Amino acid sequence: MASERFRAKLASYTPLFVLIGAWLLAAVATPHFAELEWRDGRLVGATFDVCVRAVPVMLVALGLTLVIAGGGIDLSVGSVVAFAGVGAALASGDGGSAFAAFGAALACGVLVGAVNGGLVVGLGLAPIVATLATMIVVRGVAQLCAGGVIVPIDRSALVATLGAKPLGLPASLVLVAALFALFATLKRRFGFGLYLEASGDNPRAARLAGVPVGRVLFATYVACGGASALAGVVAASEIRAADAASAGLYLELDAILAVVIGGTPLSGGRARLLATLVGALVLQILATALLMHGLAPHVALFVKGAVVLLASALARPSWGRAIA
Amino acid sequence: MKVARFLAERPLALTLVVFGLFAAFAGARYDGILSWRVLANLIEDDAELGLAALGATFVLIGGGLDLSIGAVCACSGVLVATLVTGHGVEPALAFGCVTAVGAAFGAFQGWVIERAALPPFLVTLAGLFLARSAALALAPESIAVDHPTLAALGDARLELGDFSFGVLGGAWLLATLGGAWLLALSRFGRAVRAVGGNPRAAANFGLRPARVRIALYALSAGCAALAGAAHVVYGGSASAIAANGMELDAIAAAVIGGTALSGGVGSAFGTALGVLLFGFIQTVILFEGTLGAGWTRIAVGALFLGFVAARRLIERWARAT
Repeated sequence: MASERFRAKLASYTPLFVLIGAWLLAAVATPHFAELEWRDGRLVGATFDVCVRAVPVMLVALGLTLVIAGGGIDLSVGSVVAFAGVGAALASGDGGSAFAAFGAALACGVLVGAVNGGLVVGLGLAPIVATLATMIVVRGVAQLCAGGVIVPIDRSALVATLGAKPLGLPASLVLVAALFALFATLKRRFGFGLYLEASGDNPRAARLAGVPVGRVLFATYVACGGASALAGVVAASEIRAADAASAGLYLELDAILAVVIGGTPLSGGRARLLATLVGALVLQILATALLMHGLAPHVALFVKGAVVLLASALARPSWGRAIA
Repeated sequence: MKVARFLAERPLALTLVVFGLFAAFAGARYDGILSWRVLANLIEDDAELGLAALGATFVLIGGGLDLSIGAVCACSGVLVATLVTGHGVEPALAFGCVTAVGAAFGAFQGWVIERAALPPFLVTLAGLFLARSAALALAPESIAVDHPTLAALGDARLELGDFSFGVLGGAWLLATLGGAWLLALSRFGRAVRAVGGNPRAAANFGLRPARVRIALYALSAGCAALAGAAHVVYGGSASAIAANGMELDAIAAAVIGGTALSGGVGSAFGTALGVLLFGFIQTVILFEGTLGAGWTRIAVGALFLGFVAARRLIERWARAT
């Protein structure tokens, strides 16, 4: 009995072991990977790099965790990243404040999320179909808003805000922590987490038990849209420009992967937010280590493809029990 | 009441109405768009997408989803180019080779899906990565293909008055006819529709859903590989980053052509019509001249969404009456 509980507990820590294993592997195989030092008032090193570079995927994957826990999927996140980036760039031009930029981006993201939620909950479309369509349309809209060019956001208040380093940490990491705290509080302190996992596990039973399934699922799509919009702002401010055609391209794959590595089942019913962040870090360790070895990008793609299959096979409950 | 049932049972009726309205609008707005020459170009230009969409149709009818179509198409194009220019292989043999390799890759994806009971979108997403990276490894840069046979294939035309028919259009037409026969009249087609409509009932009936679905993924990847070969004939070059997002276009064309995403329903001719409508919209945007690339995406996505939503509403309406 006790050993059964211990095993279940151990199995739930699998993503953390994977993260430690990936870091050790990268540190052993890659020269200078493990080095970390304090220079000119900030941290320098590959490990720190991994955390910062993983921010867009972490933000998107946090939102996606909620959607997937509700039994859905959102393929439009990459397009939302591009759309929100354009929105932020346009709003921060001509001396617009960082507040306006964030507001514009969030409005873009929440709008797309509401459309997704409406299509899935209101019209009853399959999530993969609805979000496939919005993925196509939203990128087109982003390209239209940008007028077919790359919109620069150099020297705006937005870049200055995201370039700030409270307590020596980059602002983008603080953003991730804030979003995680928000979602985790929603999940733990309020009924939302219970409702969400019930809706994802068995929507019919949840409805009969009085859970407002439709509203809960709608909220997850809106939250995912908002989270992706934040990722869009960070991604755009990193390169100091919003590129509607290629920002966030294939990001949905990375985000789904992060969620899967974190152990949130694709069939829904569970939301593992912290483990999702761990999943995103694992992916970024892989990418950074491969890059430091000087390998071509297509090898990284290949490795990613192999990781998807392995991770999703490990996420199956029967497997999880077998290996724990 | 009768209207609702008529539309619910004949999804192609809606496609035809939309196509007719588009054609009427375009004909009134632009001189010469409703001509044999534009239609001939449409068929020739869309043969590549048409071949890929045919494969996507089969998978969708069988209740699956293949997101690796574009990557497989690009990879097979690069493979053809490498074989023909680098190793002096005859184009016909190269086409056969890549189709076989593509089909084997598709069968492998299908096997993983069935074996590990994973969602198809996840496995074919991984397949997308693998095929794209293999293409990039084969050819980091675009390859120009210069071969007398390929050039002759690209230039060959069958002139019927104003209407000229090329090799690609002919191949697409033949593939569509073959696909229609396979789907509507053959034993395999009946098995596909049964498995897509209700896998459990099909299994109780003595069919083997897993085998049928594996065959479908092989068929889809084979069609995508043929589309890659068509890409080489059409453009005279191959690139590892070609056909980006083609899987979405192929799925959209199939759905616009009346294929149900829930499986069980669809036709090869419907998909061909969907591809033509897709190409027609691009032609209209081209004729308009001032509209950017964003508009093509929006039009296609909106049409896709509109069709899916309309069918859902029509089904509800038909059930209510």
